[in-house]
Amino acid sequence: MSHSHDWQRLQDWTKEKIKSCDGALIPMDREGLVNRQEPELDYQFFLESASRTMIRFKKPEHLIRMIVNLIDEQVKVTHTAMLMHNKDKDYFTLIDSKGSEGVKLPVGFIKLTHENPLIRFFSERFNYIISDNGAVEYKQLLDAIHRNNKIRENIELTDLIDLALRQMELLKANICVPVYYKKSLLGIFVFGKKLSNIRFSKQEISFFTTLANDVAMALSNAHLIQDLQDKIFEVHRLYEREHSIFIHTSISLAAAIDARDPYTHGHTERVTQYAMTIAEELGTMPEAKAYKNFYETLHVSALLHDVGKIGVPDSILNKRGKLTVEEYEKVKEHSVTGAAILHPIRELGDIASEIRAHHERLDGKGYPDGLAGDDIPFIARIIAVADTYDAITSDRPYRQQKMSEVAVQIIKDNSGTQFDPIVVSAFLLKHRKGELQRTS
Amino acid sequence: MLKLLVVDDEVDICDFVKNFFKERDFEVFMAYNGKAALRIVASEDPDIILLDMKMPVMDGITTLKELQNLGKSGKVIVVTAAEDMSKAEEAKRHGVAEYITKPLMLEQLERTVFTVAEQIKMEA
Repeated sequence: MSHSHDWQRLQDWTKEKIKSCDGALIPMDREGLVNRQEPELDYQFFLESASRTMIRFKKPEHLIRMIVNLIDEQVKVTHTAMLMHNKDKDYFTLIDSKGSEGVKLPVGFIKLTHENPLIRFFSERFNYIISDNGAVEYKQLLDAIHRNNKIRENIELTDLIDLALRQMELLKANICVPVYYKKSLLGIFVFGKKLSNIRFSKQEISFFTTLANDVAMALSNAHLIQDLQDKIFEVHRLYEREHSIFIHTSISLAAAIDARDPYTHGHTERVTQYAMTIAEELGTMPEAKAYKNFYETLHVSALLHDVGKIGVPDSILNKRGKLTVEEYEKVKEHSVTGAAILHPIRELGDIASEIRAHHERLDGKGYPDGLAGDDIPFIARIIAVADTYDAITSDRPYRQQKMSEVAVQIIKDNSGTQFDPIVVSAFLLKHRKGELQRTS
Repeated sequence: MLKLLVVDDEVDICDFVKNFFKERDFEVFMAYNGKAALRIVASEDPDIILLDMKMPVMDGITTLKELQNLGKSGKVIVVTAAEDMSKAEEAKRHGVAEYITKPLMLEQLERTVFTVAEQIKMEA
């Protein structure tokens, strides 16, 4: 290798170094020229891994902590910190800080209010006058006061920048990178000097702004998710409230119906209880799964199955002894009347048809529509069994009290003709387990 | 040159406040607990004492009582967390010059220290 070739190489190398050290905060010394070669960071890779990691953070604070850590590890700066807006207190405070002894900013010690010049500078977006990506270097800001005519002409702005520079000095900030969310300043990343003392490269600054944008994105996602959760919670709360009002209304209504019929006292309550108990064995049936909310629909249907008795005159309800044919026809109207009462209530759409059909028979010989088999809604088929069981085991004006075993026998005998065999099986199972005892 | 003693168990805070006031021409001493603070008070007799309330070994109030016995509580500026206002109230009864709540504004810290320094000078 010739001497002149070596010389050329040294010149090229020096030129390259000077170019990359453009605007170094301190002039390069001889030692610097020798030792100043820094390993280039693969920022692309770094960013990709950062954004991959980012998805895992539900809390933006964790993401910020991770970013501060990463920068501290990867970029080798004297200190890194994140000033973040505290929504409740409405001031900015350091939420994370890393750095070497004596330079590290203490977390939670200082606060910056909206009147703080640095906060004002970024809040009012003056940073975009001197920086396309919003990140501001100390030196750049200092130069701007003297060189940027747009700023020099504006005395107020010059003063503000002057004061903002003092703030950067207090934080020993070499670069500030703002984070905005929906146009408002959410935080500022604060970076000290590079340990190598070289000025930050354009690539590094754009790397910081990319991270700041990622933080903004994560924050906006977190806010959206939070909003959504709040809304879901609210809807759920309202639903629960409405629902409990609804159930209680149904119970009151059922009690009012029961109260009119002294011979069937507690009938509605018992039928509801029996129907719910039988249904425990049926929840996995496809018929049950076809309902949006099987147990709830059953519960309300059972509570309201006799609501139509409102239309049956007291004279019939209170009559001792056998009913005449006409009277019996009047009683039979109650399933139609009940459905008609509930039909206009949109939320009770399903329930109206269950109530209408609770006296239908599997063989099509029931009333009011003579529905048969699968045409009878499933819940109505369950209520039919529960209703019959209570009717037989209870005192009624037109029937004698019969024993529970007699009731079981009748239901068994009518399985497949009057009653759905599947429901009857569930009934028998529960009866055998002793879960269908009369309690009232 | 005024002598300032910073008493705080958080090293980061001590360092930061030390640098801040060194740049403002103070001679700054640091103590990480009340006991160490009392030793420095004995040897250096600082003009102003910035005293954190929550510390191990000897907490702020105990330290303050000792300082009051030495007739030096008038030099104390208490630094306490905003949530601990009761501590600040208690400190006031021990004759402290001022109190500041954390997080604080640096301008406010600076102003308070300078005001108290002025008062001390006037009284001297």
